[in-house]
Amino acid sequence: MKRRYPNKKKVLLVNITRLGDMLQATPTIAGLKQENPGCHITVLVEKQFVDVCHVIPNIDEVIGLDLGFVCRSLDREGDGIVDAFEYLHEIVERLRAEKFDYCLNMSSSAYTALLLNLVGIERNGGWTSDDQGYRVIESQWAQLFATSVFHQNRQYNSLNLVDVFRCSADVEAHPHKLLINVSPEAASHCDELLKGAKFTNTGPLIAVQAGASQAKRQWSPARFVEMIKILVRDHNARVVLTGAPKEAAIVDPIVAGCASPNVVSMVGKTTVPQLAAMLAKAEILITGDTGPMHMAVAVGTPVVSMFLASAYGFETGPYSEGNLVLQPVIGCGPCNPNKPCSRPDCHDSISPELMAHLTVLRLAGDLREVSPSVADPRRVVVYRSTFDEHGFCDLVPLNTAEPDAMNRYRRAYRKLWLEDLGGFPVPAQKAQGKLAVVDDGLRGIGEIAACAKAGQELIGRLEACIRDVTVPAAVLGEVSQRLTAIDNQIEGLGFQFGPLESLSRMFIFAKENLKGTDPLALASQMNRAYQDLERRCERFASYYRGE
Amino acid sequence: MRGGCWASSPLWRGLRETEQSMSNLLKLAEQIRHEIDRELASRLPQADEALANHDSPVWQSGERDFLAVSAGVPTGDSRTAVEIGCRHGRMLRAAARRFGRVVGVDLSERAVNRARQALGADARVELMVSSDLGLAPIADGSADFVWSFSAISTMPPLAVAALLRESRRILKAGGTMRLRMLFGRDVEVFGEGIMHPRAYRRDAFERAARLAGFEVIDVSAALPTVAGPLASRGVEAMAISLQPTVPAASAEAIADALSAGASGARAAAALPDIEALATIDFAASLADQGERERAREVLQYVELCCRTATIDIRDILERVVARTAPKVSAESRGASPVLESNLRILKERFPEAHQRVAALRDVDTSSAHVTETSQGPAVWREGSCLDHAEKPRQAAAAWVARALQDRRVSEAANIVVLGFGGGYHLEELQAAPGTRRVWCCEPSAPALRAALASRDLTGCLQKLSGLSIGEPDVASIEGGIELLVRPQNALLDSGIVQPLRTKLVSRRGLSLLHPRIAVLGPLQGGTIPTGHYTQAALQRFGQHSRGIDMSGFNKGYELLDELARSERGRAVARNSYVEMLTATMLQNFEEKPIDVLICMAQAPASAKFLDEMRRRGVVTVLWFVEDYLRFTYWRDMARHYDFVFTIQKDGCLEAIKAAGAGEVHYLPTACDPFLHRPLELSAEEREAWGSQISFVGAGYHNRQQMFASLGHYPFKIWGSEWPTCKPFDAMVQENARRISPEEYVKIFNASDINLNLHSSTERDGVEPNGDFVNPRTFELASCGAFQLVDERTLLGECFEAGKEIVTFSSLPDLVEKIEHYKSRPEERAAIAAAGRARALRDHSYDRRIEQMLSIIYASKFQHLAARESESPWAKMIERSGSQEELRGRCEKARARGEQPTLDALVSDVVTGNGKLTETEQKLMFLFHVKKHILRPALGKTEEK
Repeated sequence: MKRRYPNKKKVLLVNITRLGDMLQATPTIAGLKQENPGCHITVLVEKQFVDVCHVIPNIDEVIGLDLGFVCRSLDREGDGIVDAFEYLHEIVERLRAEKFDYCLNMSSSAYTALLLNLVGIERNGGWTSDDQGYRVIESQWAQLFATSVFHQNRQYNSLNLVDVFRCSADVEAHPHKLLINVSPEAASHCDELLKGAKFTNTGPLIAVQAGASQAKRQWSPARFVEMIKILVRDHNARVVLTGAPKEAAIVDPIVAGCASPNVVSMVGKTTVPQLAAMLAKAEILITGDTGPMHMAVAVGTPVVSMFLASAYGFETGPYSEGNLVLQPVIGCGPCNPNKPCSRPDCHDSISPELMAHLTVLRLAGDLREVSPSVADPRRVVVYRSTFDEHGFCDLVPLNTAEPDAMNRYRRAYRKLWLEDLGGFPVPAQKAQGKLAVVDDGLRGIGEIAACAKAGQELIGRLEACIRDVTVPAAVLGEVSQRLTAIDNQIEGLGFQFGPLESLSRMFIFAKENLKGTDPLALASQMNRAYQDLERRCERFASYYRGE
Repeated sequence: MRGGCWASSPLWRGLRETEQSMSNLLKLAEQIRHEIDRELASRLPQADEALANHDSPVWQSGERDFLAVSAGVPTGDSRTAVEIGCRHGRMLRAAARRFGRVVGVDLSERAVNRARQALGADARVELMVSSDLGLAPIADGSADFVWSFSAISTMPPLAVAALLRESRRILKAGGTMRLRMLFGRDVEVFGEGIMHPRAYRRDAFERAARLAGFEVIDVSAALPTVAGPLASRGVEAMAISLQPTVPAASAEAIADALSAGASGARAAAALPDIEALATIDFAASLADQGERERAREVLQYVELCCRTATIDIRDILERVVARTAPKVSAESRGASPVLESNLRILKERFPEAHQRVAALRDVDTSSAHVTETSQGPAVWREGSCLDHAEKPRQAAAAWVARALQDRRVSEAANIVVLGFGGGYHLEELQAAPGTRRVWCCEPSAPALRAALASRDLTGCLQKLSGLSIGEPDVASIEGGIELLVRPQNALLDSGIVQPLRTKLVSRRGLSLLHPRIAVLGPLQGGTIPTGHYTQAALQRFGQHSRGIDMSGFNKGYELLDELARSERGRAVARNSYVEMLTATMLQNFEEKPIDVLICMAQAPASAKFLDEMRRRGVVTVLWFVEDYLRFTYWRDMARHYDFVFTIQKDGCLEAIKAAGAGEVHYLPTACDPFLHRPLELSAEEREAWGSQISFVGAGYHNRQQMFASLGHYPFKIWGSEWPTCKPFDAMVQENARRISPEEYVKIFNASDINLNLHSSTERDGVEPNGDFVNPRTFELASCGAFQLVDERTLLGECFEAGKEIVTFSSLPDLVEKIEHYKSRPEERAAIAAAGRARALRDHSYDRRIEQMLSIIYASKFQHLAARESESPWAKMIERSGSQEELRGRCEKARARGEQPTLDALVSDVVTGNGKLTETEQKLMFLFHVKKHILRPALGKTEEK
């Protein structure tokens, strides 16, 4: 695998706000340790997650950033601003004193980028900013991350973000799963809880995480009730409902609706480490795209997961072998996470019966196939999570061979990025026949490639102009204007031909992240960006066509 | 018994309160002890030397003071005397000569140890440390005499109360207590910490003494008396004699009585404590007896031991020394060549001062003379040495260094020094690092002449930015000013210092205060532009002002008339409308607070609204630019304003003052030279706007009456409310529409003769004895336009008639002047030019606003400064002290008049405009946190 910074001794990982994100970083952290023996890893997290970080293996030090204090201070305005400023000053000084030699910022927020520029760590794998306050994304993998989560491009991506992060940090070796420590105390606490539950059934212990981060990703309690009833009634199941205290409003009606001694709420009864222990005790977890889903994966409990609304299985699906991912097939999904939805039709694509059925099937063992009569692939595609030959997580459809119209793009992009960014060999494929050639799914790619070519020619002229001091400034200006026009055209073509936008977006990121001030050095970097774009167009087309 | 019953038991509460008050006293005693110890620790070794010498004048001063404090008290070997606050025992030796048992009590163990050391073994003297402001080891009713000479006068009320109570306890029936205290009217607390001289109100103290169980036998002026500036502030040193009568009340009750009379006012300077005063006085008496060395020793002791003695001891020392110093006259030193060269520079640079000095032909050594010192000549005036009598140069350097320690002084653009003296301090100031202009004001011409005759001061004179004899013209000084008064001059020239200080306070207000000002305009009428000009001038003055233009609401106000037809109905509707507007303004001021509200005449400000603003601490100002006889709403409204500025004098000022306004001042309207200016007009414009004679204004009765006779001239009348019948049909322009200020400036410029007739609704023609001057007078002058204006009683002080302006007294007079000037363009131009020069110099809105603010700031400086220091910005600036750049940003944002928010701090941080500083990046970090975390979270709360 291509690496930018092979040796790392003192690493700062910035992962400010979410538990799920922290868990998703665990393969990267493990890989960093494995590939850089003796390397010291510090994690910067929001203060409330400091304790949680202690259950995550391979972390040497945790620094809490008290954003709550900053927000409360800022909310006061006036001298509250000085409080916040002084606090920030202290944090920056503290981080500087650590003398990190590498930083992987896993958060894309503007404030972490500014913070990292203030701390001044030389080598970076993720987001940072320059002295002028502009965003800087040095690593192409991180650029790919930014490209892939760009809403219009999401559906063309099949790389799990865990892997994209991992590659941003140059990590190849990894444990093929997420990691969390379960303490014996936490386990015995769960034993006590289960003992006190007074189940009458004796069958499998099934955990259900009903709550979701957004209302539109929240499968309705009535559906959960129906599904659980089937499991309890027909499959002798014991069901524990997990959730944070604030999710009681969702969970309590479900427990009440089930009205069974075999359905118990664990909401508010477990800490985060204890929740991990509880999920370890369960034989399976039924969930949406949630933090507990990642936790179950970390403790090795298989999950049956629904990716509703804006959730997208390829992007943030369960990162281990053999989990089930249900992705509704609907024109509007995966939708924009920042927009509300008053009519979440995607929820209808998954019935309680289907969820119960798949759960029972998965309980019986790893699934390799699901009959289209059980799960209609026109409404929902059931995937199984797995790893490809290069160790990248992937989803394999179980109820259909050709899951959706985007599949070909996803496959082509996957190959392109693994090969182009990672240097992984991609096996040649059998040609798909003449029909594929006339496929117009690649409309616009010729134009983009032509622009990339024209750009290289212009860069050649620009370089000549820079070297020749007799060239009048006006000529230089004209060349530079034409380059700007080409770049605008590339961006425009990306917008026009949606499936190709990832290509143009990667080009834009490359352009935004040129380094230095020397005109010739900048021109040479720019030339490389055009070359990359031209090459990627060709390869993408060829992978798409199955050549 | 349940806890609740316990809690309500009076016994329990009593115990709790006793416990509480005891712990308060312990805490207080601890704090006082800490301060005494700190003070003792900071003393120089010379202080101990002075005490070690048993013959030193320090002990003599103790002897004298004890005699003074114990005068008339029976003494004897069987009697016991107790001193409260004995410190190092200055008076105990004197007491031990007269009493069989003397107990010295002090809160500080360190002090008591020193006293023990200084007094040596004396069987009659006992020393004890009080840990809790109590006198516990001394038995009830065992003392014949208790005194406190100085210590009590520096203690806070609760401590005084506790000690009075304890003194009452230990005194025998028929015993005596003597105290020295400072009594004052409005001087309360000075300096930091707890221990500093306090002036209590006499009645409050007497009440407290009675509560402590004493009868007040005598209160008389103590010697030495408090002199000079302290006396002028109403502070007196008093000797108090008390005798025990009834048992004492609680310490808290006594303390309450004591502090009941304390006013909130703070003195500008610290007081020297009684011990210092007494000792200085003793030094003076020694000097009078010719004992210069001993006097010097005593004064050095004061300087070393009395930390509250803020009088510049050296200066007093000099005065003492001066009584025996030989006089050397300037002339006798043969300094004429020096004087000549100094005078030459003086003439060149400061001709007015030169004139005064040169006029003194014979040097009057009785009022000023020079003595020789090792460091150069020292100048004397009226028996006071204006420099240090022995080391003038060294003392001047020390004085300047001390003055520059104050950041306000060291950073001031200008320093005005009161007192030239020998010029040493001016040279020091000129040589000190930093850039500043140094101005000097010397009240005495003979003293200045003596200085100029004494040594070469040409360099000093060259570098001075200004030198005046008597009060300087501070108005001509640009930028911030700080005043430094030489200590000697403070006493000699108190008549100049006070007015000068007041003037500078208002000047300083203009540069130091940044109150948030709002200018509230009227709904309609001619005052609308005045509001705009005022606002513009405030902005030019660098004030944080915002104009609130209410004219947009006038449409609605007028529409009310269409909806409500009856008079009563209209009145109700109008009131509700104004109420609605004021409620909205209150909300606006809630969101964007202000410190000063300037209402223009007719602004929709109800009494309720103004009272609410004042309740919020806002200074309310009315610029009443109307005839107070015609518009009488001030009768009801004046009392709701802190300041009313009027365009009339005398009767008007008195009437409005009598109607309850805080302060009333005359402030005529003015011109805005940025708008009212000469214009280059095209021939078409001249044709369209111009005429041989023009008038702009509404068609008031007297104008119609007078102008009807001028129909035979090429005469254009512009403005509303004119009849369109004959003869006006030919004169009135554009259907008598309203004319905008921009338009009338064109008319003024395009016309040969502009008529200006002050309006009257009652009289015909020119109103006899009309007083105020209308804005048009100033505006026309500022445009450089020629005007004929009716005579006004207040016009003469604005413009010189015949030279800067031409007036008329009647219609025939007007016609005569039209006839005269219509064919004399040069004369017109000369008068117009002179009028314009005068208007620009004296009658711009900038000038008026400066006057207005000077008045407001002079009397509200403390209030506004306090508001400012309490403002969030002040807090932010103070808090960001160590973060230089952050502080700078706060100051800038405040200067822009922004609210104290993060948005204001980052509003000028621009990404992509070069490197961001670290502070900018940090602020941007906070900005993004706010934007991405705080705002969405707040949004969610709102949605709920």
